[in-house]
Amino acid sequence: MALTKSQISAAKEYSDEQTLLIELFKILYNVPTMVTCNEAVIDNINNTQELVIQKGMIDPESQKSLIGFYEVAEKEVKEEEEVFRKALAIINEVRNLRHQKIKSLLQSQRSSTFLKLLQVTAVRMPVWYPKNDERPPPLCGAIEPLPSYTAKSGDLVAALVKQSGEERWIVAEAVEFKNGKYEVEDIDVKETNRNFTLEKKNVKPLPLMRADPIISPDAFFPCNTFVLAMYPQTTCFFKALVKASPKTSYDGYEVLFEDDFNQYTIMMIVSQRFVVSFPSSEIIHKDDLKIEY
Amino acid sequence: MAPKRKTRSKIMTKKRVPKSHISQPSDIETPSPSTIRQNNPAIEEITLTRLKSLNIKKNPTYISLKNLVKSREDNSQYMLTDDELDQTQWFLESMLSSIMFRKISIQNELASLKSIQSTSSQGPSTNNPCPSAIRPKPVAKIPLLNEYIQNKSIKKSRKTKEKSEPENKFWSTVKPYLAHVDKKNLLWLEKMVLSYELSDDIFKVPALGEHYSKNWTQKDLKNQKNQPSCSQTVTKNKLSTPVMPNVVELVNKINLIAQNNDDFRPIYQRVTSALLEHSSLTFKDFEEKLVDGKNNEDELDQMSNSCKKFNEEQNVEKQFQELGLKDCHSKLVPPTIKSPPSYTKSDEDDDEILDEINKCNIALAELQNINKNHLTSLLNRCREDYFQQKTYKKMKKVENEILNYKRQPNKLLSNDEKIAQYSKENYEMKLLTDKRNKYLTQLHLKKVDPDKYLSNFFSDESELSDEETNQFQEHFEVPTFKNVMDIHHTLETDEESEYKTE
Repeated sequence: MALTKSQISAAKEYSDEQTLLIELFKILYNVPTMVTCNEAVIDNINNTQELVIQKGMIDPESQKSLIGFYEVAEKEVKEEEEVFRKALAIINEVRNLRHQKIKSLLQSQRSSTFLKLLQVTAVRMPVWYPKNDERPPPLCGAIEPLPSYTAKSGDLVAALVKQSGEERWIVAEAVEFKNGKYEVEDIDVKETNRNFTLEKKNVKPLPLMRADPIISPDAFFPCNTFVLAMYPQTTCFFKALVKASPKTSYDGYEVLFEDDFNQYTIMMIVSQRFVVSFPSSEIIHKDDLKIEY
Repeated sequence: MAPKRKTRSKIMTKKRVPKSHISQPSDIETPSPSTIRQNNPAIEEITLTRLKSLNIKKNPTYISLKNLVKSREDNSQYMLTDDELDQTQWFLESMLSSIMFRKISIQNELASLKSIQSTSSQGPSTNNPCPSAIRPKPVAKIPLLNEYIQNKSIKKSRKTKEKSEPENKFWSTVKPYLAHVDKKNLLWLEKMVLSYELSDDIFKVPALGEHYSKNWTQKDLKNQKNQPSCSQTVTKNKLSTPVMPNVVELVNKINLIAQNNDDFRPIYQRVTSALLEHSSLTFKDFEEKLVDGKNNEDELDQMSNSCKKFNEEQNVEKQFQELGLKDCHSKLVPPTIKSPPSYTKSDEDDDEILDEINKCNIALAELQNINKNHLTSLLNRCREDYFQQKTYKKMKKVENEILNYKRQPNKLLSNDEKIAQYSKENYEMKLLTDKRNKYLTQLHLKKVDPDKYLSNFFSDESELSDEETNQFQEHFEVPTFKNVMDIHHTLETDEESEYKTE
């Protein structure tokens, strides 16, 4: 019996995932062997360091041996890095495959389950690690996208839309960028009016990578800055004040949301994925209002 | 494998270290390069970071992951659920973080070492005869990149962040109670103890005055004549007999003060204050007379407060004597706790009030004795603490000397000079360590003779001399050699742990 197209594609996807997972399993198996080999060099370096410290002098011999050890360690650490990067890339790929499969299912979920899944995806987003000495790229943590950047189809964005008679920033999915304007779709399936055509300035692409505070501390919004953060258990963004940046790549920002009366809510935690910069024009607008009062 | 030490050692070199933009975790307290450059304009330093291996075999996440993968592979099921995939991802991310950090430190150190090598190949500098001297210094912690440790550090940082106003308020209130005893406290306590010894006069009851002795005997005689058989009414009548208006006024004033006064002052003081108030008018009259008589205003201005008080007291005494409340020739009767004042049978029958006063006096004296004992024991403890503080300070001083001695840079010397220097150093070190041991022993001893050392504390403002400490030591329990060794051992382990945590 001949297979249908969808069955063929499903089988292909499954076999792709299987192939990726087999590769991942292999890597995970080989990790300890590789790490043990590298530990020997690390021990050598540490022992030589101790000897140097004990002597109180760094003689040419120990200097030479240290340089030698360091060179070996550098080579090995790069290999280790490659292996771990590869494993993470595989995981990311597997996730993308699965996401394509369950995309339609996700939207048909009950709103609470859907919101929970939205939060989970924020932590599943890959972490950016520098290969050499480069700075974090755009859309890594708080790094703004380049002015020429346009969100790809299927990317999540924060979009300023008019719903139920009021303007609000919502989580939407970019559909297309055409004639200098974005076509976006509200991710909340309950809303009746879900499709919008918006100007570029009213769309803010959400971060695509998490930043590690140890590796790239510059990729975070500093404390006491205003941001647009997604209010927990909703799909709307509101103005918030950053009180603490994440301590690890898994953590979120500690923020205080501002209400209509310029009062702040209690401290809430919002993941890196759902915090974007606050539009500068609005800050000026609000400040002007404050001055008038 | 060598145990992991969370320290860094700095090597002083002449070359600059290439600086990466990737920052160290906030818990690393490395001095800023700019500061080092200011202090040593010709020298710059590189850091020898102790590298941390991943130790993956002992990682619980990896163990569980490995078991999972193995079981799946055995069944030829290459499957991972989303949660399992999450776990794997986070584990790999944490590993990659530590790898990245290791890579950066390796690259930095390699660059610094290479720069030293290139400098030395160019020839020794004339300005700096010892180019690569190491100054071992525990500076920083190894970066905490393992997930578990990261969480720990977050908790720690959150804790410090949470130190809010109420907490500060609480500690500012509690701090004085937890503070060490100082000289002022000891002096104050000593005064308190001494005040108890001097306050025996309070319990002295004056003899009966003329007013009472005459009036009461007259009344007694009258009553005996009228009702010779009834002896009990005599006592009653004695108390109910009309007294002089002055006395009534006095008693009323005392009662009024006792009612209005919220302070729990001793009755003696209340009585005295009332009497002083009463006598103020008379005293004023006396002053006026004095001024009229002698017409010398300067003398009055010069009269000190103490003189006034004395005059007031004298005046009160005089008033008492005039009223007949106090006998001018009588002696005071000091009561003792163990043996109450001896009275004749007839006295006891006649004077119920005196009897009551004496009973109260005895009770008060007992209480006073208890308080005194408490204060004395407190004083002794304070002295112990004070001595220990002194010894501890001295020991710290010696420890610093030892450390500084070890930190002194090595000079380029000939072999003979080196040997001589080593032996000298060894001898000096031995002296210092002996001194430290002595202080340590003192620190672990507690008993002190309070009376003998009472004067020592307050006589000299400076720190205790060695002789004093030796004297003090003699009064302590003599420790056994084993005890001392134990103390040494514990101190060393404590130091080691402190060193590690640093």
